[in-house]
Amino acid sequence: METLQAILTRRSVRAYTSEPIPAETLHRLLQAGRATASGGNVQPWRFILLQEPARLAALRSLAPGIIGEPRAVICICLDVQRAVELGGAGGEQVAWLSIGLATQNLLLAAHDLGLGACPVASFHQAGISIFLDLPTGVQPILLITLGYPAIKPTPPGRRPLSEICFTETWGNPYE
Amino acid sequence: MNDQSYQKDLGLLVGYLLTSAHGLYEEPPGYGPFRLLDTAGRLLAIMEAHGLDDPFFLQLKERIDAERSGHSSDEELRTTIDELCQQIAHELRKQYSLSEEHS
Repeated sequence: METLQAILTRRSVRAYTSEPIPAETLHRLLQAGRATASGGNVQPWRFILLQEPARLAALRSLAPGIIGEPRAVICICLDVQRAVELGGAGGEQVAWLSIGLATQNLLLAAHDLGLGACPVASFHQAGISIFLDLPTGVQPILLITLGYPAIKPTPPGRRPLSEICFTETWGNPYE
Repeated sequence: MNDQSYQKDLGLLVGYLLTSAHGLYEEPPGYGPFRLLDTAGRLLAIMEAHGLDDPFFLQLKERIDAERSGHSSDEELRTTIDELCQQIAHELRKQYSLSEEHS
């Protein structure tokens, strides 16, 4: 799939088939996350892959934002200690941006691999930290739910370019 | 019915309700009705896994499943929930109508 096509056709998928995801596919996905750009090459992320059905069911209990029953979930964590140690005083703020970039990499790679995925922020942060045995200084930021799509979602609306883009200065219309 | 797995499933639903309640303090107001709709769907899924065979509730589950995996606006969701409420009211009237001896 062409990159631009992947960007323009990706959708948040919340309903999945029961088809399992091959280990090789998940490995390629994690490689895409690993390849993400980060400020100062700090690589402040940690990825936790969950596939065990009973644990996925328990995770859904702590993460109301997980709709449907994904076959796998990647928890994207921010290693705050690493971000500050290697990135300086502003390291944590930059690290948050890096986590966003990693998320988009994972979502686009999932789409390219034929998977449906959805980023989920609605979860109990302390609860997820306890459930996943996260050490101090590591925060769960997002859950990426994964599975083969059971439906093809209709595209959600996007604001027109004329509303979100300017030319040269703020307020100067982009034609 | 396996009582132990039923309890386990309901226990997970309890967790979902509590984490939802906590999350809603900081989430958009429209998430509240959606969480309750999702709860209904999760409860129906548990009922189905444990032998639900009532055609009305099975159909209701299908409708909720389709709704919660889509991208409805708050207004569309409100309309859907209203429709579902009316459907369940008709069903309850049917199931709990007064028998002739009470009328």
